[in-house]
Formats: sequence, C-alpha cells, structure tokens
Amino acid sequence: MHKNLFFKIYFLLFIGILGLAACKKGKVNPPDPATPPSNKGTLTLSFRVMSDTMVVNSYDTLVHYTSQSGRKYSISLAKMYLSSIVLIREDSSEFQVAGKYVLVDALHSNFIIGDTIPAGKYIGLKFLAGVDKAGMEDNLNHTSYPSEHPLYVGNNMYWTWNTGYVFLKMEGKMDSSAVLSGQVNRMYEIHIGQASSRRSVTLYADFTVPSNGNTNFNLQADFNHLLKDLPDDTNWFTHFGPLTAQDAQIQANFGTMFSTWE
Amino acid sequence: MQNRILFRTIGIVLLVFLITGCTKDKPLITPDMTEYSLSVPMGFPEPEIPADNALTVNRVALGKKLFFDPILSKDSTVSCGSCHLPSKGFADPKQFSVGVGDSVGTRNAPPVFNLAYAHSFFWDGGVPTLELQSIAPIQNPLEMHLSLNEAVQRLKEHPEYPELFNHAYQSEPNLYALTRAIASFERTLISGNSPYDQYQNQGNNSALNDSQKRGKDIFFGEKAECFHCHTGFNFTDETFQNNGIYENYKDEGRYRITNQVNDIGKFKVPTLRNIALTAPYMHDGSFASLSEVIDHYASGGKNHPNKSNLIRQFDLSAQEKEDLIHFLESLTDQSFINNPAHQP
Repeated sequence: MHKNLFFKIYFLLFIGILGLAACKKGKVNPPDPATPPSNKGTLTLSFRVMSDTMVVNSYDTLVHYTSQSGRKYSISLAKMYLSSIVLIREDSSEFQVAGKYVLVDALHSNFIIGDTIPAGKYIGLKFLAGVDKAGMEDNLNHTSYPSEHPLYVGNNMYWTWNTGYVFLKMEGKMDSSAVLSGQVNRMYEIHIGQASSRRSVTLYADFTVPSNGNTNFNLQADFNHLLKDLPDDTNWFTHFGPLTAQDAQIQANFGTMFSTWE
Repeated sequence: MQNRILFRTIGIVLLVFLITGCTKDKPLITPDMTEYSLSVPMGFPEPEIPADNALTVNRVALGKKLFFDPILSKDSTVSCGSCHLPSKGFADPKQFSVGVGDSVGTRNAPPVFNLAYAHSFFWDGGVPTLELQSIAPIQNPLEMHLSLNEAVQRLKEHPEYPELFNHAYQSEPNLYALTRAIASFERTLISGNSPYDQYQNQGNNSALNDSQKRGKDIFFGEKAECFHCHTGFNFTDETFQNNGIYENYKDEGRYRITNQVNDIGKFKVPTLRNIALTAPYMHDGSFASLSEVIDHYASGGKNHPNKSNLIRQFDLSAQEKEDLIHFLESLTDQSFINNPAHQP
C-alpha cells in the first residue's frame, strides 16, 4: 500500500517537474549575445552626427549651425539608413554583414553591426548610404517587419505615396532667404530617397575584431556637408521627386558626408 | 478510494497545467480560416490573392470595419469610407476630398472597386500592392493624418479590435494585419454585373437599349478610340497616359514617381465601370460631367509633348454623343452599389 502511494507521489512529482521543464523549454540555454561563438566578435558602429564644428546630440532648435555659405540653421531631425555593410580585411578580401540595416540618428551613438563577425584585423568598411536594392524591392514584406526592426514602416522613414524608404531625413529651421538675414525661422525638410540617390561609401581605418569581444568603428556623418554648394534659391522642402540640379548636388554631398573620427 | 480520487484530481490538474501552461505566450484564439467566397462575375478572371493574405470571412469583416471606422484618422472624424462612398462607386463627388481639420486634397479620389486586378495604385501608380496602399491615406496630412504607430496603438487599446485581429490574423493589432485586412475587404469589392455585362457576358440581349448599343459601337470604334486605353474586362489597360487636359501640368503625375520627363502629365487610365456615379472626372476632378469629358476628347485636347497619339480631334453628332453617354451609363452596376455587404 505504502509502496503504491510513494510510487504515485513520485509519478505526480515527475509529471509536475516535466511540466515546468517543458514550459521553460525555449528558455534553456538561450544564445547569449554577449558570448559569441569562438573566433567571432562584435563590431559596433560608434556613430556621431557633426554639423558645423559641433557634435549634434540633441534636437535643440535653439542651437544654430552655420553652413559653409553662411546660412544659419537648426536641426530637429537627423536620421539615415546604412545597408550592405562590408568589412575589408588586411588582404583586401571582404566580409559581408548579410541582411544588416542600420537606422542611425543623432540622438544615439552606438549601433551593433554584428555579433558574429570573424575575429581578425580589418582595414576598412564599406556600406551603402541608404537602403539597398533588396530592402527597397522587398515591398511585399515592408509591412511585415516588427517595430524593433530598422525597416519597420512605422519608423517614419518611409514614403507611402511612392513606395520605398527615405534614405536620409534632415529637418529643422533655417534662414532660407535668398539674401541671408540671420533669422533662423523658416522650416526646412531635406528627404533623400529613390534608388538613384543611393551612394556607395568606403572608409579606411584599421580595426581589430577580438574573439569573444567587441570593437568600435568610429563613423561620423557631417550634415553641414550635405548643404555644401547648394544654390541660394534652393527649395528647402525637397522630397526628391523630379531630380533638380540642387537635388543632384545633395545626392553628391550625401555620398561624401561620411568620415571616421578619433 | 479517497486517495484514488485525490490522485486522479491532482493528475488531471497537472495535465491541464502541462497543456495550457506552455501556451502562455501564444494567442488565445486560433483564427477561423473559413474561406471567403469571392463572387467573380462572368467574363472576369480569378484575381490573384497574395499567398500570405488568403481571403477569409474574418479578415474581410475586419477590413470592412477598419475601412469605415474613423479611428484611423487623427481626430477620429475621417475614414476610408468618408471619401470612397459606396453610393458613388466608392469615389467622392467632391472635386477634392476633405480630410481632417478641413484640409483639402490635391487629386480627385479614385473609385476603389476591382482593385483586386490592379497592379499599381493611386493616379501616379506610386504604390505597387494593395497591402501597401492603405497606409498612404492614413499618414497623409491632407487626409487622415495619423502616424502608423498611433494607429496601431489605438487599435490595441480598442475594446473590440484586439479580438478581431486575433480571430483574423492570430496577432494583436499591428501594421502587417492592419494593411492586409483592409486589402482583403477591398479585394471583395468587385463590380461586374452592369447592364453591359448582362448584355455582353450573360446573353441578355435586352439589357442594353438601342441608344446604348449604338453608343457601344462608338466606344469600341476607331472614331472615338475610347477602347484603346479603356480596354478589357475592367475598361482600363492600367497604363499611364497624358490625355492633353493641360499645356502645363501643375500636378506632374507619373513624373513624380519616375523622374522621367516623358512621364510629365501622365496619370493612370481609370476604369470606366460605374463611371456615371463617379463624377467629377480626371485626376483633378476638372470635368463635372461625362458630356464635358467627351467634348474634351472630341476637341483633341491641349498640346503637350507627352499627349497620347490616340487623342485626336473627332466629330460626333449630338445623337452620337448622347448614345455614347448612354452606353457609359450602362456600365453602372446597381447590384454592386446596393450590395449590403459593401455598406458601412
């Protein structure tokens, strides 16, 4: 009798433990992003937005910058996409970070490029300024991305009227008069998009990805440079429809606004 | 005996715990995937339905509720149905639709039926799928002016929508399901039972009167050339054409999308089904009546380098013009307009 009772108790305990264990099934030994597999490391983009001679780390419209032509402006939004990221090894061979899209903005400084980067020495970084062809043309899935994903349509970096991502947004107030008045009181919006605006960027700087560790690549985007050589009669609400001469200049500046920083 | 009952009870409790305890992160409801029976008119092809958005009764019902619900506008006053009125062939009798805060749009609201067959959307074709189409008016400051995140948040907090989304897509309200639900409802809006259809496809020779039959001959004849662009079962070839309504286009149409100079002033060829209900006409609603539209085409239109070669001056007698209008009126599908399934 007692033997039978103990057996039943043990049996029920076994079922209970089994149940608890089963419920934790998905949580047992989860992949730990801090401990990548051996010979792999993490690369973090240490990103900063520059304008004039200042680092832009807030959207304070009372902070004024001055373009190279002497035009004063503020920044209330500075965001852009980077994609098709490729690391250049010492022997010039390349490692492509597959499927990685980064939405960078002035308010944040660190963006993880990948946590399974082959450890070793690298001499540079290549990327596309903007969203690559695959990301743009995968429009069946544009509304499928979860809200944490850089390509989430709700990130307000998407043209709904002309399906596709906005590659860069720069917004704020500006002295937009043809004859400069010094008054930073007119809104401006520079939105760059469409395939023709995508720019390939290559930056050379030595860095080493440690096995089971992290290294930073210091990238900066100079928004003052984006305004370089624009005509006095620039349309300061440009959303890259028909390509004007000013838009072509902005496109050119888009591809040359990046550098590394120490 | 008591021990046996006790152990059985504990065992059942544990078993239930085993089964239900593991499902705590999963939705509580298994979606009802009962297929929506799409009524495809005679002479129409089966529309292509995206593999990830099969038509189900629940999805269509959810999409219909969203279509007519002003919750998707900033001040909760404007719905899709505010500018796409069922009684007007899902178009808007206003030249330019009025959005939130009395903001006025820049183009005439096109009808939104037979979109299951369309390959591009809006007058300039800037959007390639029906699923992506619905988010444009929700965000547009001149229309519903609501951020997509706010739209989703409102639906999540709504007393009914979370369950409806769960039933339809096994998910909480999100952009994926929101866009697919509205597209599902719009795919059911198929119009193909007009007197013309009854005459042409259903063997009812008396469905068109004599004037309409004469008008049909003009429509499909080489004199007026209407049928070259307004062709096929849906009376559109889905191309973009400059039909010469201006010498200088304030709204440059397709050019805004392609940046190609030869697309300036081109707009998508609209369907002519239910055309008698969808006045005013053209992308900017600049013609109030079918009579004005015919006069425009008969005049050969304004000179523009991109104007379609098919638009050339032609002469119609008063009787011919009346017959042509009568034929266009025969494209009105009352059974579609009055279908209770399409009403709010």
